[in-house]
Amino acid sequence: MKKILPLIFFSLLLSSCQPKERPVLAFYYWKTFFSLSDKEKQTLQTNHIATIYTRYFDVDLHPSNGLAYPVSPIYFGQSLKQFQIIPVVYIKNKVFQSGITNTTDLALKTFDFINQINHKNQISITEIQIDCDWTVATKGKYLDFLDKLKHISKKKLSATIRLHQIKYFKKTKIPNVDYGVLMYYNMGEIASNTKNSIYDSEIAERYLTSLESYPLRLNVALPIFSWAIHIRNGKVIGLRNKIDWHDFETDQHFVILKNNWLEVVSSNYKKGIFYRKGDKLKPESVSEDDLLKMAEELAENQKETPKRIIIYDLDEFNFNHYENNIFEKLRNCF
Amino acid sequence: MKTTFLKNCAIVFSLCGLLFYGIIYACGGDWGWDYDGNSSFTPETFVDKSYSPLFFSNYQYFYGIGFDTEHVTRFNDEVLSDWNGFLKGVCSPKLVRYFLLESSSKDVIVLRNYYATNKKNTSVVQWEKKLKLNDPKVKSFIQFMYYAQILESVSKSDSYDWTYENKTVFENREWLKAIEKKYETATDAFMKNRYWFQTIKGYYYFQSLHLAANFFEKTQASTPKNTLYYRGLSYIAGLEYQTKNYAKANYLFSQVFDKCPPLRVVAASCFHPQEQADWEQALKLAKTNDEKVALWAIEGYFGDEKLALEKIYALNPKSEHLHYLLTRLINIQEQKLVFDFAKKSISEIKSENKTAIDELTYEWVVKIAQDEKTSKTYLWHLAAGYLQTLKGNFEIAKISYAKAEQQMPSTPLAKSQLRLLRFMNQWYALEGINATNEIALLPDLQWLYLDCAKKTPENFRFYSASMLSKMYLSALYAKQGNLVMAELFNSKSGFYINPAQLNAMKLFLSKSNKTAFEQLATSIYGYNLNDINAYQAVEATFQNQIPQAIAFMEQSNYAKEKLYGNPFKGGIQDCHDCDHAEPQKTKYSLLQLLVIIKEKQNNLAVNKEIFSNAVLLGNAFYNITYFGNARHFYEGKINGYGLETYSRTDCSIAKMYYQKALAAAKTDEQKAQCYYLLAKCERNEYYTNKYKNNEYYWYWGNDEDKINFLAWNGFKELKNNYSNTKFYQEVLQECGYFKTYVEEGK
Repeated sequence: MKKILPLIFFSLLLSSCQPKERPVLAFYYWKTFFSLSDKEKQTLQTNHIATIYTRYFDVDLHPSNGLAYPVSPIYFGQSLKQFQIIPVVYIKNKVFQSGITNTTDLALKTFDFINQINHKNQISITEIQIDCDWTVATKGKYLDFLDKLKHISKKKLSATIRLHQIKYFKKTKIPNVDYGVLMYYNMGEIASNTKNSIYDSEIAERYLTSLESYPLRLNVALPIFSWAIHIRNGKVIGLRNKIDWHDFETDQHFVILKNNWLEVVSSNYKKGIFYRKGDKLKPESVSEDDLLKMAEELAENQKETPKRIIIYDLDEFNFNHYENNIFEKLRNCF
Repeated sequence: MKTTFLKNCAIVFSLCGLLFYGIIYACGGDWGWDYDGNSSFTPETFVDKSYSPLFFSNYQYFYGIGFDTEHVTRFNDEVLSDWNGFLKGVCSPKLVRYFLLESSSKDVIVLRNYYATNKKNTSVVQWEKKLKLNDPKVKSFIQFMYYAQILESVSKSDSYDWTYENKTVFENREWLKAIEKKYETATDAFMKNRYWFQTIKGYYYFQSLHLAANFFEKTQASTPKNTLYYRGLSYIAGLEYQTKNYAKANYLFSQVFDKCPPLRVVAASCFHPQEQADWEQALKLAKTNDEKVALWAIEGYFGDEKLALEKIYALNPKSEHLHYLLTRLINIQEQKLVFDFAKKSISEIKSENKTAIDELTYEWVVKIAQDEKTSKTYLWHLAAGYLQTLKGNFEIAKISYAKAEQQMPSTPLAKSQLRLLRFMNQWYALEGINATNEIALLPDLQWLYLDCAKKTPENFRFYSASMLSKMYLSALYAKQGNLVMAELFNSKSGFYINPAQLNAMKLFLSKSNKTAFEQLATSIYGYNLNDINAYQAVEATFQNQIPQAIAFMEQSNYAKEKLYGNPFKGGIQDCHDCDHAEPQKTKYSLLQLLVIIKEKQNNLAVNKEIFSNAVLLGNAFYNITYFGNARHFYEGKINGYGLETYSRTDCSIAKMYYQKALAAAKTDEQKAQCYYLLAKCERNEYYTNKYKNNEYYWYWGNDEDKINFLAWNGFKELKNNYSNTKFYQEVLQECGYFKTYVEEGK
């Protein structure tokens, strides 16, 4: 016994000195036509990214017959043999609110549609992810849908989890999936005030302490996207994605305000949107510092290191706002 | 022949709309959009129905319909009517409908083969009995159907199903050659027209702008400018759009918008300038004033409606398109109005609303109304009058309304709309209110509050004006110190907490000689003397002034209301549903409860059966609180119902009686019971204080401290001193908290 003790002690010491495994990076791809630019390919290569969570389609309710149907399926413009593709299906919560929705039927149709896309594009998958902002009212149907989908597909299954579902998990319940992905963004309200709806540290603080006790293993999703909130007469009238802010700043129809918002000085059409004189554009984005802060916050509050960090979303446009090594820095936060 | 129309284009656009709305909902949050808002201006009054989806809507993509889903059925009626006209006397309408709209393709193929081969089979023989197969018109019809249905297999395909393959491209070149030939060789004008449309439609689904445009150029001069023509033109526009020729596409869509009312909503769906440059280019494509007007008419829906109105008016003051844009202009201005009577004074509200209405817009509308050059001068006078009212120019507004009345068609909706706005001009002008004003207002108030509540013309917007006028008049009365009238027009919670106000209202309501105006105010008021007396009875009860309570209750019809359970029961568990379900020989009415409470109090006063009376009184006062089985005692119009009434949580009177009972208790069983009942009161007090300010508790149940109960005094007594009683055992059985408390102590 005495001889073994030092051995045990030594091996314990060893194990506690082993470095924690840093998470692996992945991206979300959220466009309806899959085609990678050179810069995008390069970024993936430089960061050794092999996995792309690809939005395959949304599910919504048909406006006249109220039945669930697939919206805007993705089409592929190139081969993806070098990547692991994980299809993501975004299902609107109202689909589960509807009394007509049958979870078995929906699971079968969803899986079949995924297979149709895979077949056409010669993609093979081992995993599926479902993205749905479910509520207390829809948890029964949604969780049942996930169970059925797992059973039918026999694939690894993950689901997105939003902050309120972490904090109030006793009410909203936990999906029976292999892992969850915490969407650590879109925390606030889209409003004409001065707050940032994508990341707000005050709001985040209210939820971070709940992370520790969340029973499901979580990976994390972090945002590198930006958008502008289109405001008219103090009210929000739309969200403008992928705004080339420099283009707007140098456009004579717009003027930069003191708070860095833009105001429309003369009405005009731009990129298919009508900007009326007097309208304002409020830019929202996540700075590099904030992004690193978000990662650190998560690292501090999660009980387990996530295996993956998934960045939303893969688009050259988004990369322009960050240093090239941002992704490596994010990994190092954990 | 069923038709789908611009499926790709319209669907893409409506999906964009869907996705846009999707983003809003997915991200949650309050976007501050109200349905109808403060609108008192009904756009349907004078504007043609075909513009209806383009009226201003705060929360729908298209007013009234949401998204356009008529792609397949839009022209069914027109198509049926066209073909019935052509086939009159040779084919029954029932059969025409069958071939055009129902699943007739098998039969069409059979008959077409017969025409081609002259060979009859049993199906053909059957059909011969129903249809004059050799009639040339019938033959033309069937042959046409054969071609049309081939195209339909692509145009009608449901893109809402769960199929990934893109099925909406038509690649049958033989068909295209054949159909164009059919067009060229057709001798009958009707058939030629039908084939013309099929050809364009075919080229659309073949996705060739080049072929479609060539064919269109060649043939358009000799093609009648009917619905089919504009449907065809829309296909061309759609192809231009898909080829990214935005200026041309938008120009063509504006033509469709201008000349084909059923297609207005489709044109509006598809019209879409991308950059300022292509919009300006589209304008250059317009050759005549009418074409320019058409562009502004459709653009005004998306862009600056005031600019569009100005441009159209300058080009053609008689354009019909001005009218729908004017309703949008007015409804959009209305969105800026704020009537915050809770926080602002009347003069503040009026002054802010005056500023909110854009001054240039106001001046322009008034000028155009005065010029009387439009084709619906009465609509413009109405709109000008409304803006003049909002700007505080009441006398001038009267003139505008008078002109509108003189000139307008007297439909029920028009009359109602005019009356509403005229009436608003009356009450909104008041700075004070006296008997003369009241007499003047009375007829319209009766109409608005009583008649309109029963029946109004379809689409008539009166609800907002009804609410606003009540709040406005109430504010006027309040300003003058007439709190009773103020309350009648706009009931405020807490009015009855003030005894002076309560008594004043009672006095007023009991008046037998009310003026007609006062009678109206009483009839629109939510409460009556029954409600007030019952309220007073409850208040007195909770102050333990039972004789007064009885006096009040006797004057209210609430007296007869029955309690659901036995109010004198004091159980270990507070299970209201259980108590309500228990069999009772008679259920107590509210008055009976009070009378019996009085009896028991009299008994106590003479020391008769102190213990039992005290316990029963304690139970009664316990049960009439929120925690007891007789909540119904205090529920009522003034106190509210259900969750609204959680304020009745004070158990101190019950506690007082339980303590009396304890003092008079002789046996351990009795004492144990009293301690437990006191513990319940202690518990209720704890919960009330703890959750009073926790707004999330009712939904999330988020107990930060996770404490469910404390060691109540009663619990301690029971455990320490009365563990040998039968009652103790019962409590252990029924009260989980007590059980936990006892077991944790071990």
